[in-house]
Amino acid sequence: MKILIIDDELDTVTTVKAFLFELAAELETAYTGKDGLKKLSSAPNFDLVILDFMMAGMNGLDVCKAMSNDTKMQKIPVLLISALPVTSPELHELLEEFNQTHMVKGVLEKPFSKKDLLREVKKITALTKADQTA
Amino acid sequence: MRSIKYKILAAFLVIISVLTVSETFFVGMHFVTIKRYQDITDNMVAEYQIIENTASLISSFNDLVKYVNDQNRLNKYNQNRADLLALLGRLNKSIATPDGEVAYIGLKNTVLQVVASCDDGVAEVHRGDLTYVTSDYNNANHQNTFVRENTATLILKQLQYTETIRNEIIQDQVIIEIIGILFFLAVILGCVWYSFIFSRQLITPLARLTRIAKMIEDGDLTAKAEKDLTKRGDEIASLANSFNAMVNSLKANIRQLKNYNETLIKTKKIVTAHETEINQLQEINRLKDEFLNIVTHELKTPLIPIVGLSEVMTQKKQDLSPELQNYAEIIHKEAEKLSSLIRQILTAARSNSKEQIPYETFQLDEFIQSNLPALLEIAKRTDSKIEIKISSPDLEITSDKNRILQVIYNLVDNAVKYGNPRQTIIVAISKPDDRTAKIEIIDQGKGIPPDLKNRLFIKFSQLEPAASRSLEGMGLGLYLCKQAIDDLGGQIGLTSELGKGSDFYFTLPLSPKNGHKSAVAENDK
Repeated sequence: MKILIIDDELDTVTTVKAFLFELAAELETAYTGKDGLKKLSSAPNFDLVILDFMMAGMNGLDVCKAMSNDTKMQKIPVLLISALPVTSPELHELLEEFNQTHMVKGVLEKPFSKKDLLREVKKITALTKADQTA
Repeated sequence: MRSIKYKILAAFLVIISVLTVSETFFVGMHFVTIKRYQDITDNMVAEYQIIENTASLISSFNDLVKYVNDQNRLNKYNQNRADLLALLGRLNKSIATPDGEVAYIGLKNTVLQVVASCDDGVAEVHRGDLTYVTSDYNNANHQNTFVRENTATLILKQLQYTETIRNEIIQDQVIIEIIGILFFLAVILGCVWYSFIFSRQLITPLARLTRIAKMIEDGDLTAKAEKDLTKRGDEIASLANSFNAMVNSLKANIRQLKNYNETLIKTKKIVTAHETEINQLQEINRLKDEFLNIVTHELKTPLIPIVGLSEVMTQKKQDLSPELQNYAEIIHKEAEKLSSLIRQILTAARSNSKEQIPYETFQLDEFIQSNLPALLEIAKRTDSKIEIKISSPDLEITSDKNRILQVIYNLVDNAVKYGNPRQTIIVAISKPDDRTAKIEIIDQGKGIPPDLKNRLFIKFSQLEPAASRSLEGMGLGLYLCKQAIDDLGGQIGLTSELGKGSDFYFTLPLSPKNGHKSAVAENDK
């Protein structure tokens, strides 16, 4: 499994990597949206992108929009991380915009537990595999 | 009530009657005179007829002489004689003047002489004595010339008379025409007088009323029709009175409208003030939410490494000494608390004016199970235990996690507080029917007396925990629990018997009522 983490917070990235350690997956990191897209375009065989929404420069939504316009990146599922509570209307409104890109397959609220993260990752990658084989 | 109409009508009728009567009189006289004229001219014809008749008589006498015993001729003679005498008699009646009388008498005498001569001759013929016949005949003819003369005289006299009658007729005609002209003039004069009076008596008041109306139109509401208009006792007076009534009504209406307008202006001012207030409050709200969003992000971001890495550390038992393991555990526990607290504060601080909080779809049993450590912490205060009993494992529910959790926290807190120490508090999760989930918090405390049961869920109830020392430092009263469950579409309740503990329960619909939104719905498909 190859996972790309796009987040501008170094400590968050460290934590996520620590969480994902037991998956023994190939982990790549990018600290800006632009960087993330560069990494995706150079090697688009990622199984998952873990994407922070609130970033300086290109935010998560911009990244998703860019990914949806690229034929190779389109197929990669995105797990969104947001500080907004999952039950909040603001997140809901935000997700409506994200849904237009058809990229986001799951959302996690900060701070999330290792268990939550692993559950989401497993769920999304399983779904994607099912889609691919179908 | 003498109205103008009657006055004018009366005057007019008088004049017309007078003229009509006099005209009729003169027309009558005219006809009478014409008749007389006609009679006289008729007579003149008859008078001339005398000449012819006498001639016929003499002629028929002559015939008889020639044809002595002709009965027809004799009859003819007799007839002529009769006609002549009849004509003479008729003329007698129609002579009108003394002159005419005289002439007539002369004529009559001569005619009678002619008749006498002829009669004599006829008698002699009849006797057969023709001796003096010729002389009779000659006498008759001789008299006849006088007849002619006399007739001419008579006719002349008659003609002279008709002269005078003709003059009379002309006079009458002139008079009649004059009266006719007077009639015409009277009508004209009547009309002029009528319009004069009318204008004075009708138009002038109307013009005054119009002027007053104009004054009112221009805004002078004190204008009204004066007494001389309203006390006349005719149609104008009615009009003037109605006019005044209308003006008064108008004044009243205008006053009322002014009042309404003032009220309206005042109301508008209040509304505008409120609008400004509302706009300001909305702006404040918006700023608060903006602030909240920033704060949310800034508070939560550091928590990821703190909570996450401390968790990882607690799981790497092999790499840490027991002491450090313990510290890692403490850090993780406290970080979790902090995380939960921040979450709740931020959620509570969000404005209520937004739309409904969208629900999540999750496994209810798993969710409660995952919060067991926090519940255990509450129970530890009285050395009590928590047991989770799940009677249906697959309980997928779409609802608000936060509020469900808060209600459970509060109920467990109560159970701990009001229950016995070292008890086992049971959290039972069941599915009473296809569409409902039920959660019960069962304690073995003193139970709740029946009279207090009804008061538990209302505001400021005595049994409400004051500053509830639940895990997050934020408690909900039972009242708020009820609000939360009601909002989620469920029901909250209590079963309790004194001495046998209490069973606080609430039910929830597994899927929300129509119109409620789900988060991440798209992505779950």
